[in-house]
Amino acid sequence: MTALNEEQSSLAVSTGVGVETPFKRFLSDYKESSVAVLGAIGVGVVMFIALFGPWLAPTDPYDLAQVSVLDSRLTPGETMMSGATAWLGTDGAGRDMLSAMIYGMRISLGVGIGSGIIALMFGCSIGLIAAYCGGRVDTLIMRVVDIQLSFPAILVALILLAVWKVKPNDPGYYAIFKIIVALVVVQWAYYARTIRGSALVERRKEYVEAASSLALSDQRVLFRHLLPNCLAPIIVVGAIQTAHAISLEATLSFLGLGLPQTEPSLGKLIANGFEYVMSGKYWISVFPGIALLFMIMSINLVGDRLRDVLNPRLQK
Amino acid sequence: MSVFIIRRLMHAIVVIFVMSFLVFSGVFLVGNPADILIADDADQAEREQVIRDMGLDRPFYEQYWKFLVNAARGDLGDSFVFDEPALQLILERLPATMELAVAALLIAVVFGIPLGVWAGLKPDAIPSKIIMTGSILGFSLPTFWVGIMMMLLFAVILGWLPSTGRGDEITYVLGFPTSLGTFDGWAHVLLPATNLALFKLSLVIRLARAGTREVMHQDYVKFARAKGLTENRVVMVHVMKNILIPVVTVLGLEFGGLVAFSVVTETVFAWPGIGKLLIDSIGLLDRPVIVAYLMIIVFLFVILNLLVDIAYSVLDPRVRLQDVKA
Amino acid sequence: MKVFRRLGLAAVVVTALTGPAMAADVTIGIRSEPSSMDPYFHNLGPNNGMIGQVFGRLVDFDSNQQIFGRLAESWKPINDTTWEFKLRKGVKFHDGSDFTADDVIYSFKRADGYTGGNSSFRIYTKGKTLMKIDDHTLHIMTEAPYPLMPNDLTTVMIMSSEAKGTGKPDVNMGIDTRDFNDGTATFGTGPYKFVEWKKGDRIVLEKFDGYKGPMPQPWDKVTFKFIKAEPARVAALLAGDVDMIDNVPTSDIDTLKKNANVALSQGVSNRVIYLHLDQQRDQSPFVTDKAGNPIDKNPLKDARVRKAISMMINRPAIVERVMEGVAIPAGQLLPAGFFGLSPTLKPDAYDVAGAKKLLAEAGWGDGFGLTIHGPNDRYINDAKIAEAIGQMLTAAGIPTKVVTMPKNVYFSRASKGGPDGTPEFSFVLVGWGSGTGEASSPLKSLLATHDPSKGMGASNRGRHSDPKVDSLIGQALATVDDTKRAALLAEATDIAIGENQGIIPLHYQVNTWATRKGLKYSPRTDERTTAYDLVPAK
Repeated sequence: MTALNEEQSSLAVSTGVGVETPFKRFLSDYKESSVAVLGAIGVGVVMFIALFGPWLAPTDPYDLAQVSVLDSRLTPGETMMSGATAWLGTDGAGRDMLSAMIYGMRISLGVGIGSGIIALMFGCSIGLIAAYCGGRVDTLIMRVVDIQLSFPAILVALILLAVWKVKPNDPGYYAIFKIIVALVVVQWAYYARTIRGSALVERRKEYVEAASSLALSDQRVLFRHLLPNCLAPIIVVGAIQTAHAISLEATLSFLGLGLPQTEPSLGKLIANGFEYVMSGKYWISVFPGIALLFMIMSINLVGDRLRDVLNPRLQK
Repeated sequence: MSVFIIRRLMHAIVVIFVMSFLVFSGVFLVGNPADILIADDADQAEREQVIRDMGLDRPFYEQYWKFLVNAARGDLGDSFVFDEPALQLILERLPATMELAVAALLIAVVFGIPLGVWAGLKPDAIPSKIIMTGSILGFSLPTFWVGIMMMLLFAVILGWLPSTGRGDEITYVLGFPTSLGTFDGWAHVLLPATNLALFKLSLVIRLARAGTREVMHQDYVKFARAKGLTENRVVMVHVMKNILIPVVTVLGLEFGGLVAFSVVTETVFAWPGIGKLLIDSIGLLDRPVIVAYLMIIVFLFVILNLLVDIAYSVLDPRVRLQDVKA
Repeated sequence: MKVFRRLGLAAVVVTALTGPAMAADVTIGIRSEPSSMDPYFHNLGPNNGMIGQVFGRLVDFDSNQQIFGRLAESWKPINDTTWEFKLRKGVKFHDGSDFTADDVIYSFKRADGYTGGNSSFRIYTKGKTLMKIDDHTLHIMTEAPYPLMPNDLTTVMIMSSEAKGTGKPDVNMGIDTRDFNDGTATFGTGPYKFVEWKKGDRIVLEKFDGYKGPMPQPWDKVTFKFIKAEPARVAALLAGDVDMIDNVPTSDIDTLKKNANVALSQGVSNRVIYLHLDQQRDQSPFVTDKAGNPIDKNPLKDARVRKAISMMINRPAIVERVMEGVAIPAGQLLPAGFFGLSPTLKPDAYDVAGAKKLLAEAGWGDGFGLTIHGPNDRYINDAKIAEAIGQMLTAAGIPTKVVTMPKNVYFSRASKGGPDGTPEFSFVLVGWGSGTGEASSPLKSLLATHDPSKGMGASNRGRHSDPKVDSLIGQALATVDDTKRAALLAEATDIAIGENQGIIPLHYQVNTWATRKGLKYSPRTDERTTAYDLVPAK
């Protein structure tokens, strides 16, 4: 397979979503794997829950006036003081688990994808610049990446917590911003390293030389020619990193640095469940884990399939 | 080549310096360790005394300068919590973490490569799909959650393995203390190492599968088959050889990650390594230990990157070191 | 010694079963690792508990914080400013040397002059002059009458004056904290000898055969393993890897109670969990209107508002639902049985209607907004308690935000995170354990007027201030007569909490230890976990 073919097929995918033939081909390729179709359905369900959560959830678990410790640790199916049934039981603070998981999924997904996209855009730009410029720029960037990769997420989050002091009239989403910033700081380096690696290989290929010899601007060569050809590994890393961001947020919650106590994400619910693992109150620790597993499995099944479909080297 | 290596080592020194500044100032911003360490019923005079003894009453630049001067002499300072040299505290505990990381790496390779190659050879078979879907499990759930669930299952319910801690018997292998010289040591390391390995295991399966799938389409594999070689020989020799290079290089880099981020696993399983030391030190803002730890880790990363670059140039003559250097 | 009763591996490891006799060895899983084996390096619960097994004290607390003689046989005040201590005879240190009054004087000297520690014992040694009368008689003199002499002496451990170290001769008598950590100087008179400390892993102690004193020695070898993660500690007990654990998480108590192989022992601790309210600033940063906007008055300065907040808190619900029944609702600084309590103060009853009436009286009938700040890794279920209070106040008409953070950030900010080193927050959740086992310690630190020059109000984060309370505390601290002192302390508590609502007490912590069947632990109010309080059950 020649470089020219590769360029054509990748470009077709990256620019041709609206064009009928390649998109149809993509769809039929995708549908060949039944597991991936299940994954896509799963992603659809997760998206639906995330978008319409407040209308789906039986109660509002973030409204302190509606939650009472008197309802805490009810087993699945018991009735809460408000008269509603806690189908999946309640947690240690008296929140209905089902509602808390629906709301939490929204936040976790938002935090995972939000931080993932920002980190991806930032990391990819930096990584591409490193690979394209080479020389001192590359060295400098890669050493910064080294530092970043060894800097523990918990320390980043801790510093943010101590320095970024929230005032009482700040809106509630500041806390989520804070976590997203911490996760971006931690994640961008992975993207930068990955895309630099594949860009270094691509850079030596004929099509880039061809583009350069046509006197196209650096920017154009970088983003129109190099980037699309490095997309396959980025999609995989992206799907994994989104998953990673969500569990990282859970880990930060586990260490007491995550989202607010009264507005738990799915990750925070899992962290809360940690202390109930030995207690026999399985619903507090296991259900959020299953929900997270479902969410991340779906995203990654889709990611895996996209990688296979989009990877020109596997198309025969 | 040697110019290249010397240059990279100089980079390493700059990187370590930058790291020390970032961490030092970061921990300085978080808070004052005396506020956490001091006894509740101490009066204000006692508080001031402790802060003075730790040198925390001095301005930031003065504290950092003192640190640099001592560091240049090889003294990274005494731990605030233990009042022992930070470097010594870390080195004492390093073998335990190394042992855990090596065991995790072994698990990842021994299980990951065969599973990944199998999944790559027969991508449409049901077991391959199970392997691939299962590998997602490895990075779907937070480590601490999987760890405690494993402990519940294997230590409490089944009673097959010890729940926490490191083996009692320490033997010396090539001068390094290790608990892996005894059966008891392996029994203790199995759960935490598996917990730590899960993420890497998924990664290895994925790398091996992707590599196998690409290699199977290459001309030389077709040629080998055309020559009439057995399928076993094609896989074991021609395919393996070609997928091992990316797997080994990625693992080289990831080993640094294993050592650096064993934090959660060590906390859950009470493993007496440097990850637990780091988390405890962050909890008490024990700045000398945190700074020393991260200086060591970033050094490890730089060195591993260097080794990987050198390995590339040795394995693949087309890559010249000039390409990646300044 | 770990017993290999593991199912799947049993066949392979039959040979490993032969070890030292197991009957008298015990392994204890504890949450907190001490920071040193040096008796004067760090005045900290885990240190005092661990080191107290190796080093003796003149007098000590039993499990209920009642004082008994350990190295002293008897003690009494012989005049207003002098106490006489008769020392036990025939006591030996672990290195074989004899225990005399010289060792006590030497120990006080090292404790009092300690430099480089994390918080010294100077608060207990200062102002005391020691004089040797003979080898086994000691006089301790103070300038003014000093009633807390025996209480103070339960803190200072006694080391051998013949100990040698490797430190600089002019610092800490030439003995570094390192010399205690590696065993060079770790020779006490306690029932257990120090064997080794593997940092982050374990401390091993061994029975001291030449021990003479009142402590029981039921074990030949004691291994303390540090297991910080709560469920992991429970798992270690259930898996049989340890024989006892401390700090059993409240979430697991129910299940463990039903487990026939496990015995629990519970006891109230000297720690009260309470709320500070900002009573100093006219504009408090985290007191807002109901929408969260700043207001120019501080309702928390009004005692009626503070009382109303206290009445909006359903203490029994917190105890039952958050603490899973393992706590006692609190109305003052120490639970029943301690010295210097108010006989009349009871926990405020849950009464939302009454609270609203009080608020209206104070001119805050429409309510206001609050933020409660609390740690999330310091006290039992701390974050959950803060959350429950947020729920209760919000439901009762004071919309309350809940912000929790790890203790390393929290305490710096709560004590002096605001401008000019003032407390940053307005409404904070904290706890206080009385190290001296009586009411003067919390009164002095939490409710006396904040005054660095006098060493008063060091942890008074709400800045409660009342000259009457200050003067009562001052009188109590100079009254040797127990009955009179108890009355003064009770009166100070009545005014500071009962009338002023200077703090809002929530509950007293109850600590839980769990042992395997066949062992029995006497729960300690000072929260220490020691080998001498653990005995085989009869």
